[in-house]
Amino acid sequence: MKEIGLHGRGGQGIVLSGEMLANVYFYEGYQVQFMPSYGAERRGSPSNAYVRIDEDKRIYSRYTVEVPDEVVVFNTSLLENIKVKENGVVLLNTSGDIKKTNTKARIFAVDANSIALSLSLGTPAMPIINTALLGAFCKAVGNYSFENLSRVIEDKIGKKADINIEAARIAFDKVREL
Amino acid sequence: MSKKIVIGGNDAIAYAAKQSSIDVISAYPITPQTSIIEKIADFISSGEMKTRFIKVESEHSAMAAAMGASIAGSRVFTATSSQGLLLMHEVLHWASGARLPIVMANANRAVAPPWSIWAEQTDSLSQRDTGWVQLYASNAQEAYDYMFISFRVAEKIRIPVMICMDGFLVTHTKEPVEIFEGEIDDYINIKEKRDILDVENPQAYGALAFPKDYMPIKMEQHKAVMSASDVFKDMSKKYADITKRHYKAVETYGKNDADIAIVAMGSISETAHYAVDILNESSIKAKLVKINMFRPFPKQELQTALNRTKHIIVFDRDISHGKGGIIKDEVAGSLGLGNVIGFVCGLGGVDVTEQDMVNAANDVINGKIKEDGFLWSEK
Repeated sequence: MKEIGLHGRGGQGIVLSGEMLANVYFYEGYQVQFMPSYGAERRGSPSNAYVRIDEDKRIYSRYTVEVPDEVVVFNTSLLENIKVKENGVVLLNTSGDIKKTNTKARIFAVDANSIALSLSLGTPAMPIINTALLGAFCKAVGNYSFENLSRVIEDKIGKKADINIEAARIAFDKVREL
Repeated sequence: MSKKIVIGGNDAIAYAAKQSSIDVISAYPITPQTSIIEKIADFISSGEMKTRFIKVESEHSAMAAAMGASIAGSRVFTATSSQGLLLMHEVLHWASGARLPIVMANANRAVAPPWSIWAEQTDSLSQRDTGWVQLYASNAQEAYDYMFISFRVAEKIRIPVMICMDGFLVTHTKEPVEIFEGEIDDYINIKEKRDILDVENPQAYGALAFPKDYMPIKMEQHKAVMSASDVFKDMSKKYADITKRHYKAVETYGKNDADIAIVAMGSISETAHYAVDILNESSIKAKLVKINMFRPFPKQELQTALNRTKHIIVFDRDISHGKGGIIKDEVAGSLGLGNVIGFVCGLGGVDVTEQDMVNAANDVINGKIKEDGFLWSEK
């Protein structure tokens, strides 16, 4: 079983991206479970969601993921509190020049904010970056197809699906490994 | 054609409600139940569901309106959680006493104070004496399936049924669920004939009963609730003929000749599958005894599952202050067993992992733990 953490702030669409990711893996033929972590939701406060996937076995865990295998970090101001397994995968949303320090994790970066804003997704204060990050994550982990991601974006987003798929495509192309 | 989609327990309940030919729903929102009635409201406003939705000002009124509609002959559903369920308490007795086949979903949530929105079963377990059948779904598929079985059981014996699901851990955790199209219609569209309000033939509900009348009525009600055991078996079998999923009041997993049995209900019983696997791999023979039906209490099934097991441990996500875990007490008391150790755990949504259960099992087997207690560690 693999556990994936999505970490951001209230309003960034963390819950929806987790649900979308679970659906993508479901279409890929995985056993999936999506577990949002609910608390006192406020715009701007930390928000986490978790996806568990397994290639064949049904998932029975009914508790919060403690240390995920892979994480998607929507907001790097939260980095201090995010855990990941030693040989895990980290995807960061950043425009900054991040340097890899002492970690065995594979680290990827993409400037999802700029991609979203170039397509008028959201506002400068709150760009809508979840679909861009799922596009970048698709490239980083390489175990789901962009086609299935597009299909899920169409299912879940409806009217604005096209620009969201575009955002995912640009992020897929632009994501880089540190 | 059935299809699998990724949804949570609340969505599953709403989808099942849509397919259950429900006439009336009266409900009041409360976290973590709200998304059930939101989804139902969506289905009704889009015309996919032809059900009268009654908006009410409280849960007390929700159950009162459900009673009125049920007495008038409607198939009725409602949903609530925690404080809402507690506010309904008086009316729960009225509904079961009037022998109304209402089906209700309850999102198990801790009881305040302190205020909490997270999973705990004290809310519904403290309603165990209200004369309702109680089923506990440990995943979204069960929640969906129990809806259909519940209507059939309720209407067959004229006893209301409560379907309980742990808040967030079942209600909001999304996973693949098989949803039916028309396959279930023949099963769910059977509605039993029963006495209903009729202006041509007036009757009274809830009239005064003198002692010599009151007691026989209560004995009959008890018999009816007890009969839910057999009726559940029957309806569950018929359901399995269509769906291939055969539910039992008590299910077991693991080694039949186990040295230790883990007894659990709701979401903890899901995680417990892993605990049993870990123990069996470590050469401790273990099994899970998963309680799906708490009322009527599945005494016989538990006897069969537990009678030769040396160690029995029960995980209660509930508490009766001054006594301990409610499930533990019922299992040990009803079976007359002295080798049952109870762990009160997971209150207010605290995580309970398979490792927690394995540690508890080892401590009991090694004699380190000899009496009931809490499963709690400062992290």
